[in-house]
Amino acid sequence: MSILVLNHISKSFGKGDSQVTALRDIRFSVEEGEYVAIMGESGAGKSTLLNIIATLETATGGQITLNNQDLSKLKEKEKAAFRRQHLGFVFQNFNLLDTFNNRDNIFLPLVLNKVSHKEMEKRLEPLAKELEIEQLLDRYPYEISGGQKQRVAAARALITKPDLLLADEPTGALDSQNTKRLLVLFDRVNKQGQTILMVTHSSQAASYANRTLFIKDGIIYHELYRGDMSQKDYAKKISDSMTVLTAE
Amino acid sequence: MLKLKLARQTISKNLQIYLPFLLANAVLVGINYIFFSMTTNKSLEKQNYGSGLIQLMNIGLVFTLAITFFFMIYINGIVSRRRNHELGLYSILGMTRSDLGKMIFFIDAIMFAASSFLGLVFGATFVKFVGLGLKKLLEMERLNVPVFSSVAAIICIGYFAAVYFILLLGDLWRLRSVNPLDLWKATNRREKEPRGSWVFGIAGVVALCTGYAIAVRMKVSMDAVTSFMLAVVLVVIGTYLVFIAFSIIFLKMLRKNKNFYYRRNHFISVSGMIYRMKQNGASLASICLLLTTALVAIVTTGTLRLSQEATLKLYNPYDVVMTKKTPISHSDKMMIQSKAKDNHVMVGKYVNMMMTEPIYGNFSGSTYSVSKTVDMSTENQLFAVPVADYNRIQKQNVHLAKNEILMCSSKGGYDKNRLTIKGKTYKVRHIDSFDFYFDYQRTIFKPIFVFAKDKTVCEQISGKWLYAMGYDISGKKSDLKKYTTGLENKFTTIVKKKNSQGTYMDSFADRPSVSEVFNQLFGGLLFIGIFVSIVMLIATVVVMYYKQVSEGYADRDRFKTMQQVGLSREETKSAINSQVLTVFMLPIIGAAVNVGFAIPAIQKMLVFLAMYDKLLLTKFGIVSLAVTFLGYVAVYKLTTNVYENIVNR
Repeated sequence: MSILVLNHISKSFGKGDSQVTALRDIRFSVEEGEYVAIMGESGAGKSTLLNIIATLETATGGQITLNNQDLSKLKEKEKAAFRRQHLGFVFQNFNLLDTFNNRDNIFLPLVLNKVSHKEMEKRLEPLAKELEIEQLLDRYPYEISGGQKQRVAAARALITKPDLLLADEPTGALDSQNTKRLLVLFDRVNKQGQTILMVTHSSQAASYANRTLFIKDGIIYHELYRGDMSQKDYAKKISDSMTVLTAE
Repeated sequence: MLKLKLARQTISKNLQIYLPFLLANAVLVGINYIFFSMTTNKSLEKQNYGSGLIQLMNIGLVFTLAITFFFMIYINGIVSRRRNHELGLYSILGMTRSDLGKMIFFIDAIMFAASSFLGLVFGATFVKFVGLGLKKLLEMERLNVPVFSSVAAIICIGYFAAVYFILLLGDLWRLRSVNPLDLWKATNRREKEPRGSWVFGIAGVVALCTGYAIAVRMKVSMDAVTSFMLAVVLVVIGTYLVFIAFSIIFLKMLRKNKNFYYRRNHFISVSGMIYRMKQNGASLASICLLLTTALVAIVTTGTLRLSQEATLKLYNPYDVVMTKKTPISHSDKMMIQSKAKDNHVMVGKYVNMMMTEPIYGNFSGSTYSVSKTVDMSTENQLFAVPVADYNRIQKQNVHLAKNEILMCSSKGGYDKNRLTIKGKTYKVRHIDSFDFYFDYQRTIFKPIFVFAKDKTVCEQISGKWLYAMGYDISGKKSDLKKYTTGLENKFTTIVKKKNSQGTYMDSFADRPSVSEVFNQLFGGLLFIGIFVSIVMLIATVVVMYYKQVSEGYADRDRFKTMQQVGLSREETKSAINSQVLTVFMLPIIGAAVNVGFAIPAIQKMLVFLAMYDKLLLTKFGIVSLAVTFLGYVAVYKLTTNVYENIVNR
């Protein structure tokens, strides 16, 4: 069942002479339970695409359907509600609020959805254990390291049991150990059924996904399925594709 | 010169930060220049009470200079922190610490030069206007205020040069102990404020309540001033601790209540407020105290000025009032007339009254208990007058029995219809006004005039007699002054009597002299009150502006994140706006509460200056508070524009 369908999505900024086209014609769909990576050079439009899927930006043209809901038909307020009920985000810069402690940061989307605090605590318990952040819950984002922050952000994204987990360069600000940790976590929740869409420019990160899309010049240039390949081979194939992609 | 150019660029690229500082600085220079012009003004010194007035002004000036100093240190701190980012960049690119130091020197020098120049222009423009105001307020005709006073300018610029020198030293010192990468990151580093501590929080509330209690229960006595000072210290400490510590404890308590806290609106606002109070507690407390001081200054000096006429009437219901221990003689009247003729002054009808010497005491229940020793706890002076005099002066025809009296007292004096004096009880009829109601010897005791059947009953109440006479005069102001001064000299010469010494006339008061003293005293105090308040209000406005800027930058990132997590733009806006509004309203509410409790204390201090009108003080207090509140909200709305520009960028 397609959980996400993009049809001829285009996005331009500015007008007239100074118009910049970020996306020309994007078409793809994501099935439930898939783990998709989106790769491309800097400035290729990856983050813009993610923002559109996340309802943070509106496409200039085309149609996008998530869970059978046509996103372009939503008003701003409805988009916000949609975000917190159906999506989870993990950003490169963690984007935790410094006014809340870590526990409350994780609870935030649930509080916005008017979930009772007993239910929230129930959901947090196993998640905190799995992410090994139990000791951090009473502290504040500025008191913990980058790797810990990202795990807190992941908990925030997962606690709503979202239809789609969106990640924008989630390992960009992490060291190799924490990077591995996060990617293993994503892999684990994906095996439990979570659909993930991840933007990255790291071949290593993309190799955890079972499908990789390459964006260049505003379109999907190339697509790779992992199939039965080993992760190592898959990573090499991705890396080769990137080389071809970026060749002049 | 590269460093000079960089310095200029830093300022011009960061006008949002530097311009308000520059303007506020210029205004402070201007105000201090005007103040200095007044205190060094030769023609003011030569006025009758000029040197006293100058002394009062110097006190106000010291206060203003102190506020200016702390204010500049505070704002300079904010400005330098914002500057660190650029300095860090230059340092990484290769500028040495001494290069950076020279750059900072140039920045400070430019700010000093610009603000001094603007300030002097501003001061010179307004000094004549202020001089005119002062002339009118104090009714000093021969006051000459030149536009440019080199003495004032030099002292003023000298003071600011010293302040800037200290600021520069501070900036250079901060530069020494820091390395470039720290400078670069410094702008993003969060201020770790002390956590709300239970001890401090409760201590704050206790201090505040104690201060309020002292202010309200103060008695009029020699200790009044010390009590007031103590109350002030407690309220200042209490305000700071409540804003810094108690607020956080209170909010944390709300947070502990999970049923309350984990509701969408409470969730966002309580945690947001905890954070903001941690960041801003001290500045908010400062704004609150600045507003409180400005209000207290204006209310006190304003009320005094407004009540001037009433007090004047209390001392001088007629233009000239005198009392003598023996009846006013024919030769006294001849003296009055001849002096009048010499000075081209017209003398009106004489009003005569015989009254007993005052008995000092307090009302307790329905008895007037006479004070054995007259001290600060004594409240009233009571006179007995035969009702015949009352009838004559008021053109009435009242008959009284032996045990009946009429009473004329100040507002809210005594309202029962029976009074016992020295063991004898009288039926009391209250009257609203009496033309010759006056404050004998201009003391702080409230006058009570009691009218009895005849001399015998009066003597029951009090023993010895005084003879009072009053009359109005008309003529040119300078002639009137000469007349009354000459008459006063004659009538208050020291005379030796049997075994004692006294003045010829028991007391002598004339409107021209009293009104001159009042004008200069109350007018001068009002002048200082207005100036001090203006300085406070300017400081408040600038601090509010900088707070909006810093909150704007902090909230900008929060806005984005909150929307990403799932709040609509409207919801985010209203959530954050309600927090910012609360944060900014707290100081003015605090100031209103502080002033509310200060008014009883002020009222008791004003009794020393014969100001008994509680209602006037309260009314004026409420009006001032309302005006200040409106002004505050207007400034808030204006500075919010800056905030919104930053957040929406």
